[in-house]
Formats: sequence, structure tokens, C-alpha cells
Amino acid sequence: MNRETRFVGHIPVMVNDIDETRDFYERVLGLRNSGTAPVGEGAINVMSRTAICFMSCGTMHHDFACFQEHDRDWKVVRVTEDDFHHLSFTLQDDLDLDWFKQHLASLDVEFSEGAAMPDPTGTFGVGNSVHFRDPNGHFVEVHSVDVASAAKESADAS
Amino acid sequence: MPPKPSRAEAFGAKLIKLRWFRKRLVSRADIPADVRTRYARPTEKNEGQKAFVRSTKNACLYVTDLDRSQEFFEKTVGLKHLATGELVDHPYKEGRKVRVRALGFGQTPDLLLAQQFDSDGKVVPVQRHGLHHVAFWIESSTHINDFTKELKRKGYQPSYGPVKHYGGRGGDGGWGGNRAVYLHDPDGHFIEYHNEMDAFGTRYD
Repeated sequence: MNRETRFVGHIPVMVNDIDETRDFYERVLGLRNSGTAPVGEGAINVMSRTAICFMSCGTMHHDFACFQEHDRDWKVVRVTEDDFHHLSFTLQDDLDLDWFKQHLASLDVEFSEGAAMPDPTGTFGVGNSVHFRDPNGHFVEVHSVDVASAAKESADAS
Repeated sequence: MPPKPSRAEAFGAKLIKLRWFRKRLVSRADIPADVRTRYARPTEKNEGQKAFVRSTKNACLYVTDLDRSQEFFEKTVGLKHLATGELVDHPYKEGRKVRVRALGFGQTPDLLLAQQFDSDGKVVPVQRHGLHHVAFWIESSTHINDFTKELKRKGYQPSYGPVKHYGGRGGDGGWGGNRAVYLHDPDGHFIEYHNEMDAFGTRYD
């Protein structure tokens, strides 16, 4: 991968259950599993007794990952709320927000219109964003393509 | 300034890049069989189908001091202040208020910082175990080793790396092929700066 701009690449989060979280992101965002790393294999897994499931939007090896950490007694370390509030994704160019809302409704995923946290720039809000909670209580925000194009242009210009 | 890794931690981070050392750690760790094998195989779900989202856009981190965090992200990766909101009711936590600051590489928010206040007006401390890390892509023409030198020159000591996440020589046994360096931000969030990631579909077994 060669890209000459700076941007947010992947956002891996802590989860209570890898299988449940992976299934949610596969169904809701259509992400694909690009590899799983059992406890004890890579350096990061060894240090923190963590199993990792890498997930991709289809281009990069991973855009998202689920980390399930274990304590000294091999119990899962539960996710906490006051670490981060949300992560966000951009819809594919050929999909619109109305389609995505129908998709969420068809999966019985409760969602709200607008940004998960008030955006002081006014870029993301009602009309171009929706947000919902994943099985761990993390908020996921999804932006539609018109905003994404603006975002990409500004990133390329910088 | 981020917390500086101790000498022992820095030495440990070097040792852990060695496969034989990791094997020793693993054999001693006495991992229960179900934990060890549970995630060993990738799933094939959504094969041949395009994902509904094309990429990540941003993350919103809780912080305890907006200015201190802004300085950290400005100096380490070049994010610029875009706007700071008023103190408003937290959209999801009763009794709490929140102030949000947007930082960006261009005109749209790439990182949101949120400072929370409880009902007594005290800043809510940041917890761990929500996020694992946020990774910033650094333009491909900058080698991460050079990027790391620049961080050190500015007074930021890496918490981990520079390293390449793969199983081959000089790699740390990780996945993705990304060359990366990690820092802890002032609130202890783990932040990655990387490039050179492998394409989706690359297998490491």
C-alpha cells in the first residue's frame, strides 16, 4: 500500500467476546476477517494475554480489530466505557445513508440519526451520519459518501 | 510529555522481537487449551462481497486536558485544531457534561477529543480497556525509522517499536506487515504511527 497522505488507518478496540463482536461487524458493516491471532503468538499478544481478530474493509490487511484480553486467571478483562467514545467509518461510494438505515433496521440494530458525539465543526450530523452501539457498548458512527468525498479531498490537499 | 518507558521495559521490548524468546514466554505462560486454540482459524464470511464501508474516518477519545492532548497530536502527527464546542450535556451519560474538540489533517475531523465533567464539575478520569489503539497512517515516502528519530528529537520516547508486524526476520511475530512505532498519549491511550501495510488477503501461515 502506498499513500502519500496522513489519515486514521485502523482502530482496534477491546471486546468482551471476539466471536460475538466479529459476527456483528461482519453482518452490520460487511467487514471481512483477515486473520486471527491466538494468545501467545505475536509480541503484543504475548505481553497482554490477548487474542486478536483482524477485520478489513477489503483493501488494507486490517481497518479494525477486536482485542480480547485475559487477566492472570485467564478470565476476560471486561470492556470499560470511559476510555473512548466512538469510532467512525465511511460508507462505500455506491451506497447511500437511506440504504444503510434500512439495512440496520433489517438486522434489528437500533440506531440514532446524526453524530454519536456533537461535532464542533458541524461536518457530521443529521442527514449524513448515523450511529449505533456494538455488542461491547462502543459507539460506531457511519458517514455517507458526500462527506467522505469532502474528507478525502481535504486529506489529499494537505 | 508521555510517560517514558523504563529501562527494563525498553529491554523487554527488544527481547520480545526474538521468536525464540517469545516461544519461551509462551511455553511458561501455561495457556488453557480452549483459550489457546479458540481463535486459530479465520472465518470465510462475506467472501466475494464488498464491505458496506470503505474505510475508517475518525475516533473520539476521552481526555482529561484538551490543550495537553492537542499539543501531543499536533507535535507527533501534525493534526491541527479545527473547532472546540461549548460545554454541553453528554449525549449518553446522565448528569455529565462534555466539551469536544475536533482535530484534522484537512477540513474535516480526523480525531475528536472529549473532556467529560461529572455532576460536581470535576473532570472524569480516563479508563483503559475500551480502545486498544488508534493508528495513524504516515505518508509512504517517510520511513518509520526516520519518523521515530524525529519523534525522539521532539522528546517523545517510543513505548514500542519501531517494528514490522510480521513473522519473518526482524519482525515481532505480528500480522499486517505494517512498519510501526507506538507512543502513549498523555492520558495513556496507545497511539500507533505506521505505513507499509499488506493488502487484504495476505496470509501468514
